[in-house]
Amino acid sequence: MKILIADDTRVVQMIIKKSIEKCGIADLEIKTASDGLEAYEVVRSWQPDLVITDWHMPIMTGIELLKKIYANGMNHIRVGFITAEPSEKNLEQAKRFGAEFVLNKPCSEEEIVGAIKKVLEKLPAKNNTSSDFFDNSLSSVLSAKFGGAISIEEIESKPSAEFKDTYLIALFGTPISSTIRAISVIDKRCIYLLGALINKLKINEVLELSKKDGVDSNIAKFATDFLSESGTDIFASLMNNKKPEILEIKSKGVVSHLPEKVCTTIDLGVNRKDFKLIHPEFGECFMAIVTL
Amino acid sequence: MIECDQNAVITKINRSWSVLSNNPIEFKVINGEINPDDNSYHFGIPVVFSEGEPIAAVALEISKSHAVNLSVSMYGLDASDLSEDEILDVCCEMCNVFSANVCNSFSGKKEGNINVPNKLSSEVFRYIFKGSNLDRYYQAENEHGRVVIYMFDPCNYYN
Repeated sequence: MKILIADDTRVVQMIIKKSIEKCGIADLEIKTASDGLEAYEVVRSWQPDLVITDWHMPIMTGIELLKKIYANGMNHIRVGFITAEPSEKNLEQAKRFGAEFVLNKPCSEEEIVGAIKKVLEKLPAKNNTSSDFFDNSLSSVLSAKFGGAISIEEIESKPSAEFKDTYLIALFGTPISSTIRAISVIDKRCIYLLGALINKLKINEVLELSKKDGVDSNIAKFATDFLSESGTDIFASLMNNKKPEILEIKSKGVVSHLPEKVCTTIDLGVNRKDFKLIHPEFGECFMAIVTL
Repeated sequence: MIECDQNAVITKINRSWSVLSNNPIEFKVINGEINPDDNSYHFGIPVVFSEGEPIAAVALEISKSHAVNLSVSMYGLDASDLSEDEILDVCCEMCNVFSANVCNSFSGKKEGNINVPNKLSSEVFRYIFKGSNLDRYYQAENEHGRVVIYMFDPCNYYN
């Protein structure tokens, strides 16, 4: 496990380092940085699992560091604060922006060890690459939900401008910033399939509905059912269990063609995976998930 | 005069000192006059209030003997193994923590945001001291000398 300590005071770096070393972490590597910018450079090049940062540092503050890490797509990196920052508003802001913990200085060694151990419990297994994590999360959430009624295959991504069917676009983000962190694109047939499974409807009847041109009144309900029941779980998995919220469901659930701006965003996503969902009676349908 | 919960401040700064130094001393709030000790170390932190009011400041004066003892406790090293930079580093951190203790006890609408602490020479500290309004100070004293936390409001920190 790789941990970066960012604090402009050497004695604090040393105290935190000593506390970490008492956590009994296997394969522990620790680096230190003395200001926010130096810390960010280490984050970019070294990709630590956890950053423990002070708030007030020269050049770049701890909260600026946290925002920069997440704004640049490094959502897998956990960030915690050990700080004397007195403003409760600011500390609350840090939590809203995704800080795993905020400890007030001076804090005891036990408090530091306890906070780090809680973060450790939430980290995925060491050999779980982000790609595996990504695939498994969708499969495992859907399998848990539908008990193996559908199978899932990853398929090659095509340019999103070529999407011709009717699609649901759901935008997910963190509650505070309204920054879009993930997008799902789900085709009309897929919405019908998932809606039928969630609502325990007869597959044949729903299949007929899905073959008709346009959409009927069921589709918005089905889309909402799926997203409210499973959407946030899927994206929480993708975003290292930082539970996102649904920011927007475009066009009340469906659009005929993806808008150009959305296509660009999807195709520029950090991680994009396209999946084929297969149901023995219903057949195949399509879903793409993009994390930004 | 900055209103704040004096009992809360005293409790917090006593605890902070105790946790970091392992050697408790009792701070008291004093509204009377004081003369800075030129033989001590001085550190300052500008405080900006959220409403954009004039800058205040918290400053720490710590005797060299207290500074060394605090550093021995925080680094876990013998005094002879500590450089002056390491001692100043510790005092900066103590100033940072004390400032937070004072600032998060402001009452009413005031919420202070603290900046990074700076080491101040005796001359610069005297300049700030003379040109600023000393709102109050917290002092603890024993055989190692005194530790003083000054609260200036407003402060001519940048002038």
